[in-house]
Amino acid sequence: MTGILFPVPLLEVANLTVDIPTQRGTVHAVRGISMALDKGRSLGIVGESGCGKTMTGLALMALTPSGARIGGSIRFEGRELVGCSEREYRKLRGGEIGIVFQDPFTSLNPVMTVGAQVAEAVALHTDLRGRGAWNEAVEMLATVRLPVPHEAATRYPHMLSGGQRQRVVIAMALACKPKLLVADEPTTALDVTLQAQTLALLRELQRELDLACILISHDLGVVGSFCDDVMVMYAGMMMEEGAPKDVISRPRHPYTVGLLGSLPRKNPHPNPPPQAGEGVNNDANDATGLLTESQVGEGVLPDVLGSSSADTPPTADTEDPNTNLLTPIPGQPPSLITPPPACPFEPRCPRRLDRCSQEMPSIAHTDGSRSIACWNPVEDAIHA
Amino acid sequence: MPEPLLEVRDLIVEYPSRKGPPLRAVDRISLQIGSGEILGLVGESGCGKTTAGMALVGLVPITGGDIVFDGKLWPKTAKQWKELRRQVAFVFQDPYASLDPYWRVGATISEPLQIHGIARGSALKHHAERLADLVGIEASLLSRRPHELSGGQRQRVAVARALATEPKLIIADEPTAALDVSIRAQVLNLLKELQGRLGLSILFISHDLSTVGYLADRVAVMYAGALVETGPAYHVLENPVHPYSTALIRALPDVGNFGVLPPVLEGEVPDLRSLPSGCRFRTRCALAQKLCAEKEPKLENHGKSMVACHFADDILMRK
Repeated sequence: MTGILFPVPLLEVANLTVDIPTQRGTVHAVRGISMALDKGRSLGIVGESGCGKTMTGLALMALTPSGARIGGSIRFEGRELVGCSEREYRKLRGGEIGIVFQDPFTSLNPVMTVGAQVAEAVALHTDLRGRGAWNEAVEMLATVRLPVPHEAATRYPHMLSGGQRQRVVIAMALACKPKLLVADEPTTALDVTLQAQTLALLRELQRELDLACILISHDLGVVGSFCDDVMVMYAGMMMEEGAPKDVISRPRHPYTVGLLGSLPRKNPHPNPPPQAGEGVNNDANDATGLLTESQVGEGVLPDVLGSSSADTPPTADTEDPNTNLLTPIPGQPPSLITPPPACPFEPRCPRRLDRCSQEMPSIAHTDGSRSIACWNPVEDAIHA
Repeated sequence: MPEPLLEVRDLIVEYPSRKGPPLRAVDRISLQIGSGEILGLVGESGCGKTTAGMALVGLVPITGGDIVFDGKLWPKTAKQWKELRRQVAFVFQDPYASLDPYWRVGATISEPLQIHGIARGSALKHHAERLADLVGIEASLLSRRPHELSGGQRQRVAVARALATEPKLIIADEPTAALDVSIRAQVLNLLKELQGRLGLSILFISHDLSTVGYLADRVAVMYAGALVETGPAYHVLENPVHPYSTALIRALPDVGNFGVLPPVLEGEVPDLRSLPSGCRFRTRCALAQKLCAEKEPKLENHGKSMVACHFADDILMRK
């Protein structure tokens, strides 16, 4: 009905919440995430351990731990998934939505040949059985560029290398030509050269199959190079979202700024001399870029990202060698059993205002495509 | 370069194998670490970097080669190993696994002092407090157990324990790999600060080139058990010569290179039991020639780096 005038995104998530009851209290793992993803596009979700990025991915397929409560709305091709029966989900999982987990060493069955495992996925979702399913499985293994696929299919997981196993896992996820692939840290367990191989493969398959992809990762480099959009999560909430060229090169949320400041860059400059007048964190970094003694302890760090200097994002595309000094975020992420009532980053934030501890920032859609949840974001370098 | 603090010559480590010949995990590597220097040992899983680090403190038996530490040829006897371990401390990768969950933090930190007979009784507490202060953990945490600590705090505890005997060299095996980005930066800064303040030497073993680039003065790149390139960190990371180092560095996705995937190095690391003849990288190398299959290249000086490649000079000329 609205399909032509207002095309429905493939996936539309609104105000998603995941609450997980535990013995110590309910963990509010995801607290109101919204996102939309069109066919063939890719969204990266980045954040540190425990920020809720994995739970967000699992919630899309109702794979959250038993007892967990999922709230909000997940619409896939316009169909509401929250509240769907397990039977309906079974069709969806692997059929329309594929998933790739982090660790190719544990996500395969060690006592089944890899061909049989892929064929099982095929048989579950198509009419193919027996030889037909097997042939389709071999076909899939060829699609993921496994060398000599008809032989590889007869092997057991332990006979394959880590990179080959991850290819098998991807083949299983794609066996039924899903429209959406959720990949949770697909390259984290792999070495950099295998990571590059896997990302290149995912990109090719994405183009070939017109696949939408949600890539969950802690690695900003991976997400920046792979995704069309990136969402930065912290303590179960969205902090900043937009195109990588905006969010990563000109971050505006203080958490994104902090995350990037913590990251050693690829091309380091050795012992850069401190340059007077360069605006980047001169007050926080002394000549060696180290914290002073009193700053070293966790949780006691004062203003490391000094609010005056944070106006120049430390990772802007400048040639300033000082950008290579690490600026850790002081303190620890909050407990998600008793999360802060307002902005979760406020206790660690160098730009906090009184308002930040009283009221959760509303999500501002700034320069067109970027969204920020912050009362006092860093000025955009371009407009400043 | 002044007299190196640690010199490793032609270190070989072999693991016995039930069938067939032993598996040579470290194949004739030679390294030097100067006083107060941070050497980054990088390579992918299975390249032998961890084995090499463990061999230096006797955690795996050495098959061949010499370790010269502080001007002396080490070690022959169990007593000498113990003495070496007082001066060379080890920080392990995973602070969730390397600390005894039953032990209070203070006891964990001060145990090496007892082992080496440096302090006992009430002096231990004093030492533990001093060490805690050094690595930036509050003295009140000393009576806690590891599960009450965050990952970053645990790794600080592991560093404090390593520092207890006032070693000259710390071997840190992926000390930040298990930590989140923002916490990782805290630990990296701590290591760099300690190196500056205490004049420590650090052998920093890591698969993460950007971390190594941040921390290390020099790097050594390993592939399938052997060194392929060593040199000043900034130089190797910006101008790698060996085709493997080049591929490894390029494979790292660059924050800021949006939408561009890193180039792919095809193939996988060969089985250490059946290495190709000649150069061990030749099966994946775009520049491989007949010579590469016939003769194994030696690590030799080329420009500012030492490179094990027959065509290093050609590569340098083309740059």
